[in-house]
Amino acid sequence: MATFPFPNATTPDGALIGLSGSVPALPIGILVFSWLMIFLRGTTKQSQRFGYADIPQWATLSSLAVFLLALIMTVVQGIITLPILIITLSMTILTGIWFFLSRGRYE
Amino acid sequence: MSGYIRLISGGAFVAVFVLSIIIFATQFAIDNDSDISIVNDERYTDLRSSLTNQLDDLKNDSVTSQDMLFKTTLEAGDEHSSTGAQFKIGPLTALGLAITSFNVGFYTIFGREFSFLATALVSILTFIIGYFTIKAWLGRSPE
Repeated sequence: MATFPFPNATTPDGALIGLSGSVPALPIGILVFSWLMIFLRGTTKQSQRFGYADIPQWATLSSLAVFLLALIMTVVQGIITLPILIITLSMTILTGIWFFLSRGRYE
Repeated sequence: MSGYIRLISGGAFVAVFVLSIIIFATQFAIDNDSDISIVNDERYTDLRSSLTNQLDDLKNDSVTSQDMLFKTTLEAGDEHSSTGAQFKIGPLTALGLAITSFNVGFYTIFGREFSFLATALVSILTFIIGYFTIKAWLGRSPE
């Protein structure tokens, strides 16, 4: 027995929107995964190469990338909701403030 | 002094950054006829208009501050100006841009129950403004 009603995956609408309808946490999971992947990979690689990681910069960069991804998901109804979009926008704003008010490495 | 300049320019950059992404998101929704748009959230349309007004205030403050600096004269033996009025204009307006954006973002994610954290951050920012203002004006740390 399936844990959720499997959508018709033969069309793009079925694969994306149908799956989001069956598992509402999936688009949020994709956004969180993307944020963590960019942030952790960026900071790890930077600290390997330069010996330090600019955490506010990577937080801002990953928030911006996730916000753009969330914007694409808003084109069609049924993937993400307005609160999720607003939360990604708020994350971008908060990390942007952190980035612009943080001290630079060479200061 | 570089910290003072960095703080003011940081506040202004925050406003430009926040306005840019809000305008981009709005225009994206209009261009693509999106079903979900941030225009439907009043907080962000309010934030956009208040940031635009605050940027105008900052421009006026900058002009006033520059005018005061041009008109300042120093006599031989003067150590520093007696009022430091030129340092009183600008920082609060610039940081106000960051604080407005911060409050909207913070309340959206955490709700008003955690507003004491926002108050703590605003207090720290105010302290930093005072610290750097005194340092820039008198040329030494205020201890």
